[in-house]
Amino acid sequence: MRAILFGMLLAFAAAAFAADGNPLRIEQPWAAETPPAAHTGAAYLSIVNGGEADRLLGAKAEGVGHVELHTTTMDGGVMRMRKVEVLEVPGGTTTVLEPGGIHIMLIDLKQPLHAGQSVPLTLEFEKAGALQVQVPIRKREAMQPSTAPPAHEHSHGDGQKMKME
Amino acid sequence: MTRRGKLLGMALVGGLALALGWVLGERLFRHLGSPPDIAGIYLPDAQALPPFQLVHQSGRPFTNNDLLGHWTFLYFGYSYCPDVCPLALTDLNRLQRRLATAGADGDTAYLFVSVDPQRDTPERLREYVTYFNPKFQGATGSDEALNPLIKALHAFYQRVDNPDAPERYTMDHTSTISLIDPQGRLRAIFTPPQDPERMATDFLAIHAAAP
Ligand SMILES: [Cu+2]
Repeated sequence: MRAILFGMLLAFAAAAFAADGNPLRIEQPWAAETPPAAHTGAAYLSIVNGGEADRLLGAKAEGVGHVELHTTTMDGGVMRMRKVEVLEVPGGTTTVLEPGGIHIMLIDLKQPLHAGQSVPLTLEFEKAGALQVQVPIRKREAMQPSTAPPAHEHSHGDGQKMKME
Repeated sequence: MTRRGKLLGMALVGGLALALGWVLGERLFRHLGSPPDIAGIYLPDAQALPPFQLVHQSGRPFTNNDLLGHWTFLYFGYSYCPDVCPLALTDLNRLQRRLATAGADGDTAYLFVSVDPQRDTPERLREYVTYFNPKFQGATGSDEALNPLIKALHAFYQRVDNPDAPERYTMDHTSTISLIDPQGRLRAIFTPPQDPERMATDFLAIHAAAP
């Protein structure tokens, strides 16, 4: 829920998307450059849905063994990463995948991700079908805001008051 | 009792009261005076760490002695983690550069302790952590080796099995950053979400308050 920004675009988005027929648009895709030793990586993007509710069922990427959707939660200072089988993409909203929230996990990288290159990613939606995106690879440093990411703000009621036993 | 005895008694009692007052006052001052108000938990009485022995990224043992003589920012994680651990290491990198700019980085170390020794060999850890900052160090150890440190730093981790693919298990882990003082004692815990700027400010305050 926190990852969904209720689109102010709703009214005119529908008209704009009608032109090319696909109500879904992918914005600001990027994947984080990985250390040389990394087996895994993460890609982030926004799904702008100007049409009816849809569902992201899965993804594939070139040069990547497995692609999964994951969500990260923070509870009492403990980080938990869990697989998301299906990601709901409500109509008229923008679903944001960002660091500390939901990520597209790239597992078993054939080679490290280098900034300046890109990963061809295919997203599989229930209604809209397959959507292809070239995901540019960027240094995390360049993409992460210098303060803590906003994705953390809401889930932290307890996290701040970690108990000392 | 002679007059001299009385005087001596009074002086003794007075002296004792003075000494007691001084000790109490000093303690009170130390506790209520001005403990740094940090984005996390500050321990006015630093907590000694139990003996532990991990494996350093170079392959040699890493023990309590390796924490002496400098401040250490310690983070538990694992290299297979694609999101939160790189996020934390990127923040620690920002912290290091911020402290370097402030000329306060001379006696600091940054340690990434992997809770996933099965996948994180020392060599792999070295490649992983130094990617974020050449000053960063990695260490790991078996559950038994990690446990004393995990407990003392009020941390937690647990393996989460992946039913589809056993080799693709993940780890839940505490995402706090512990600050160890130059005597090898726990001095503060920065709770997530950590902001490097704030941590730098907090560290300078803690550093200034340290005896
Ligand atoms: Cu993941």
